[in-house]
Amino acid sequence: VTPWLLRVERRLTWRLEADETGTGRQVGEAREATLDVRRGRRWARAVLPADEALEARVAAALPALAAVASPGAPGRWRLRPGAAVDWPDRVDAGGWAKALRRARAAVVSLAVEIERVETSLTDARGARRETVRHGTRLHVVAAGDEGCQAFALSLPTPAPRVPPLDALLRFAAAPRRPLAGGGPVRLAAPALAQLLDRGVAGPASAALLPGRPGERVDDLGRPRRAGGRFVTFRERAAHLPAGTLPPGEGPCVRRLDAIVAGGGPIRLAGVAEAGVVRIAVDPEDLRAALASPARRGVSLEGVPVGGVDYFLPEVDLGAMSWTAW
Amino acid sequence: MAGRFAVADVFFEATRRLRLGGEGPPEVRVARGVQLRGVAQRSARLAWTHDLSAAGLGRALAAVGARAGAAPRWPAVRDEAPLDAAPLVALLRAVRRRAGVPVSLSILERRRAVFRAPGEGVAWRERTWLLEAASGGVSFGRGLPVDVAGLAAAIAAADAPAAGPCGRLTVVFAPGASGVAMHELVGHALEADHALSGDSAFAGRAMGDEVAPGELTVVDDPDPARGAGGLHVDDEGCAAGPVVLVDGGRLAGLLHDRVTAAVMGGRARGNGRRASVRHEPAPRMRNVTVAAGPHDPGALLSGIRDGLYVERASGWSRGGRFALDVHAGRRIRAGALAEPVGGVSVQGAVLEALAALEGVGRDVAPCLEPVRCGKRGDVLTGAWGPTLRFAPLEVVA
Repeated sequence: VTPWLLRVERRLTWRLEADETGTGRQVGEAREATLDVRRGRRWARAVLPADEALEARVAAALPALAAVASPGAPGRWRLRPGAAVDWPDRVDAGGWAKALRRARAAVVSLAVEIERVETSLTDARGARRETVRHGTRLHVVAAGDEGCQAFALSLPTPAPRVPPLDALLRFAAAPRRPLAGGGPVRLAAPALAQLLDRGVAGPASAALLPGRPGERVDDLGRPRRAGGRFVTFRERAAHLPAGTLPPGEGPCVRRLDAIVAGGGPIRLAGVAEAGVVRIAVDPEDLRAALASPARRGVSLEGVPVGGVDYFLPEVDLGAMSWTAW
Repeated sequence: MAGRFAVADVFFEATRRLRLGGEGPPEVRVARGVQLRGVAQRSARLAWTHDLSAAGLGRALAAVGARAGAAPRWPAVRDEAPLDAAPLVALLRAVRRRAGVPVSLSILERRRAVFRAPGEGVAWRERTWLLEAASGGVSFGRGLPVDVAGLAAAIAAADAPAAGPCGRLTVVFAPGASGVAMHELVGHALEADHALSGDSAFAGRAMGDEVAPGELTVVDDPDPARGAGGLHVDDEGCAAGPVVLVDGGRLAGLLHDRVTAAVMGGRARGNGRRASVRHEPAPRMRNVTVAAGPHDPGALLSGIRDGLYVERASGWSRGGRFALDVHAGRRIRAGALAEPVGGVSVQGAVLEALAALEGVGRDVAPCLEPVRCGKRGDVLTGAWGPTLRFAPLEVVA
């Protein structure tokens, strides 16, 4: 039997948004099937519409894919039985207005996105596994007070409920002044996620663990392991454990506007709480910071970047100099 | 749908994509979907679905608050010539052999249709191909290129950039790369949604205002023969035409989609592009083209003691600032091109950079690779331009 793995995903998204020009509502329903076929160490993939003709589409694609498979190492696909991961589906939006008033932020627009993902996996042996996941993301666009532009942050939650907004909105409304100086610099979770997602962190990425902190198995039902990689389909989440680093002094870069990497130091330009800075980070220093619990913050923040949900703490990059934007 | 909304349409898309080579497995991707959109004065509703069954379409209709009417008649499809895969695969092999790095080939066929009202539909089919290395897209087209050696050299050069110079330097953009620079400096700032939100470098300026020296003329050109962004009809069903953005150094036009055209009283000329059925349309560029100037390109290098010559770049611009990351370039020493450099970024304020333009060459050429624009989902655009010389700009590591 030619080994194959079929992943069928139904993704429902709701998005509500409001700004001074009015309101918007979006609803989306994606239905997609990904078929991976292996022949020895050769494999191939088809992405197909998950409609009523899916069975016929898969039957037609299997021999064609096996014929064009190319060398690679797709890993093992054995599905293990397991209870479906099902997160509750409810949204608590009651605290929004109060939080906005408290923060007195110059909010330009607000949007909330709720997502429900139903996944079904089937392999050539007939094993099957199904999961349902939910998530809520909040996007805030707020203006600074130094002629700086509106910008956006996003904050996902493991369950579909709106998180506390005060700290987020205080940051959104903070002045943005060019900064220059020296001392300890930290990378907040959103900036770290951007860096890791660009794939420029090199060996630093090895510190990442796949999966959500509370999730013990992947979609195939396998226990998650440190450094484990799933090669049959894209990882949907990655996390770095919280450490013992208390909140500290110095700029904490929240969001990166530019990442330039070319073999040497990674050059970053980003927005910190009080201003806009440029720094250069040695990949080895970054790896050491990510690997050391003493240099990782005490809590995790979820950040969606490039189709992956990162759950990361703040990281202390150590003492360095930074220049103004 | 049209009755309740100022702007409304139904958008259908079906795509087939074959990818070979590169570092991943061979992949075939088939997708289809429909998007319904209605925009009123103070509210907008949008629904999209891959479920084209009666039940799926019914849910989408309910989400935008519309009811099903008579099925629209499918319009005649405006078709492009089919692509022959065999010579493309041969091209992939030839480029991969010469470059010595993994290169992938994608062949894309896309059918799209837009219905604004019953009986008012437009349908078309596009076919394109794209060669890509890990460093990014290296070539694209609807026909076959002939310069295999040039493509391979571009891939090899992109993989090994040496550290470049920093500080305030005279910057010269090579032909083609100058179009990418104007995509960031001029194009995004003249997208009408940015103008409406105030997030434009030209906020507070009016059409006709001088923003650059008189040698600079920039046009957004939809001609499919001129680059990856070319199209005959946009994703809102509007016929495409060129838009002059800057004429003789003066602001000349905005890029509109149907919504911004309705709000601002402008004219939609084919810039309403959807990245996919999941994305709402927005004003986007097609092929940004800088018109030829009066200068000999060699003369634009003369007198530069130490400068930066940009051959490949990508970047962003927002709220009046820009950054152009230099992937490949040359140091300019004593008025001549010297060693290869890269890994630096040209940054600054858009208005200051435009004012620093010192000369426009007469050597207009295309940017070989497509310009991926990620404003609201990725779309491919093209860039053409001659050599452009700027007075010292900030170059950072």
